[in-house]
Amino acid sequence: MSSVPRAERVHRPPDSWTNALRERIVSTVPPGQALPDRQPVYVSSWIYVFGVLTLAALTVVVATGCVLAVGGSAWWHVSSLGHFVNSLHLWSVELFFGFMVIHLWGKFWMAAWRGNRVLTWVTGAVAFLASIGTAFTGYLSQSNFDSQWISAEAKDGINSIGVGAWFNVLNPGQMLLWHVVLLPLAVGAITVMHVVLVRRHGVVPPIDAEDGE
Amino acid sequence: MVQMASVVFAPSGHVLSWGWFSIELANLLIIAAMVLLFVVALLVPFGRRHAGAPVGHRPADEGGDQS
Repeated sequence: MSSVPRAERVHRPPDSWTNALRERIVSTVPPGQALPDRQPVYVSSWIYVFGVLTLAALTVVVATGCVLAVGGSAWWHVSSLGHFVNSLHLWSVELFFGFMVIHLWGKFWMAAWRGNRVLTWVTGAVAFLASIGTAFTGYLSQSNFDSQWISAEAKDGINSIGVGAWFNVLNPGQMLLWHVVLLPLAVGAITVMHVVLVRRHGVVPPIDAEDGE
Repeated sequence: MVQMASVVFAPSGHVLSWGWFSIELANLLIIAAMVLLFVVALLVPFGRRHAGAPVGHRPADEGGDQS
C-alpha cells in the first residue's frame, strides 16, 4: 500500500486540457451571474425588455422552422396546418426583427459599448446582419412567384459583389439549405456568444447612472 | 385557375412618394409603429420599483478584459 495521500495520487497536471477547459467555462461568467435573480434598479424600464423579447421570438422562429422542415418545403402550399405553421414562422420573424431593431435603437442611444462591452455590441451587430441573411434566404425558399421575383431581382446585386458562383440566389435548393442549416447555425452561435457576454459584463447602465447603481 | 389569376394580378400596395423618395404604405406604418413602441418603452413606467435593491458583484468589469 502506498503512503502517498489519496489527494496527491489523483493530482492532475495544470497543463491538462480538461483543466484548462473547465477553468475557462467556470470563469466565463462571474459566479451567480449566469441566471441572476436581481438586477440594478435602472433595469426596471420597458426598454430593457426588448432583448429578451427578441430571444423569445427567435425561439418561436426556430421551433416553427423545425416543424416546417418535417413537412417539407411544399407542405404549406397543400395543407392548412402547414399554412398555419408557415404563418407562425413568418409573423414570429416579423416580431423578431421589430424587437431586435427597437433593442438596437435603445442600445445605440445608450452607447451600450461602454464598460468593456465592445464585444457585446459587435456580436449584436453581427447577429443582426446574419439574421438579415437568414431572412433573405427564407424569402427565397417560399417556392412561389414572390420568391422567384425576389431571386431574379437579387441576382444582379449578388453577382456585382462577386459571390454569385458560391451563393446562387437562382438555386432554390442551395438557398433552402443555407436558410435551414448554415445561417441558423451562425445566428444561434452568435446569439449564444452575445447572451454570454451580456451575462459576463451585465446590462449596460443608462448614461447618467453608474455601473451596478 | 381563378386563384392562380388572383395571385398573378394581385394589385401592388399603396406607394407614397416624395420626390426621389418612395415607400410602401404598409412599410411606413410598421416603421411608425416601431418608433411609437420605442418612445412608449422609454416613457411608460415599468411595474414597481425596488429602490436600493442589492446588485450582484461583477469582477469582470473591474479588469481590462474585453473577451
